[in-house]
Amino acid sequence: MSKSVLSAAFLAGAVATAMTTAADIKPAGAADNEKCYGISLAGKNDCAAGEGTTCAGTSKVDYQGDAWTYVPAGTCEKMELPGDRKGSLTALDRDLPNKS
Amino acid sequence: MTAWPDLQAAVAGALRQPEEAPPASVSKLRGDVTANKRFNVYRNNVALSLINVLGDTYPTIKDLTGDQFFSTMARHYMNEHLPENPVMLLYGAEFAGFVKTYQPAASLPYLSDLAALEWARNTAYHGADAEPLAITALADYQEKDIPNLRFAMHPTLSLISSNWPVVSIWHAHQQDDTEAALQSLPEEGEAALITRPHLDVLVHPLNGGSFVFACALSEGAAFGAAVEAAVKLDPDFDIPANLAGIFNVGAVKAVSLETGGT
Repeated sequence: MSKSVLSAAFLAGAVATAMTTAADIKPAGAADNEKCYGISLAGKNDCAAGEGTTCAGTSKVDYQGDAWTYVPAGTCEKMELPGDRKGSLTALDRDLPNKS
Repeated sequence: MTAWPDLQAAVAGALRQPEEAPPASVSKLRGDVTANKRFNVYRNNVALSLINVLGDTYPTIKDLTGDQFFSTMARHYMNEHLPENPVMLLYGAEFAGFVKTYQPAASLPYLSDLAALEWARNTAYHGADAEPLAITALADYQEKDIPNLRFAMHPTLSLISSNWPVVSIWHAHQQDDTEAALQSLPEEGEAALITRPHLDVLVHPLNGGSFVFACALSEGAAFGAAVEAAVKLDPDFDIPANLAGIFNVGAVKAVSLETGGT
């Protein structure tokens, strides 16, 4: 390692300050220890037995190639992104001749 | 009679080929219930369960793109990336990279980084438990050794950065009024430190200097070198505040004077 421009004394001073600062702050997440543990996130501890075990929705298998006809329909168009970035959303329209 | 491994391979292959006929060993039941219709139940089961797993792991991406777009995108991902591990918690690791190259999502350039944030939360949630180190441990070291201290970071720690305000976008989606929160996004890109010191996964926004500092430490740089890297990017880098911060969020597991290794 090359010779540091920051001296050991300077860094040690910063460490000392940090220790005094940190003592006043409660560590993040420390208050949550009484929660019960071991609960799986929903839907990942099992196969998707419901819908898939019937023939309902079988047509979903045939999605392939349809992606171009879908546009994002969630919150993305409601977002205010700064500058010219917001306009980028409309770029896709060119590629969607069948879509109004 | 077909050998078991051959049958397995035939079924696995046909599951991914909806246009192909099912394996010859799948019999017609009766009446108009064709073999293909019977086999489609299994095709459907595979597709839907994997799409659902992706939706659970990437709820913000799903929320943002809408159910139909997300399902289609997830289905394309599934066709390229079948699970490599029976543990579904680990499925979707390459999703952020996939999203980046997925043409229909090209109008949403921040989507890939947002997926990376959600994956970091997923890995933190399921990562190994470890007791975070208290900053008072630094009192054990002499002044001359301070610049050479190496930090072993918490096993659930991830650091992400983006040219887009993905942390604010993610945060907006955790609010009751997501739309209102999306109206006041910052102009700049954002970085974050994601970790799970105890039971809850925490997402802490970082500025540029803090991000460089945390990255350097997690890559094994000595404390002095990490501070130098941060000061180089941000001359106003607040050393005590950042050092206190990285301990307070529970991102440090151990410190030592050993070089290399973890």
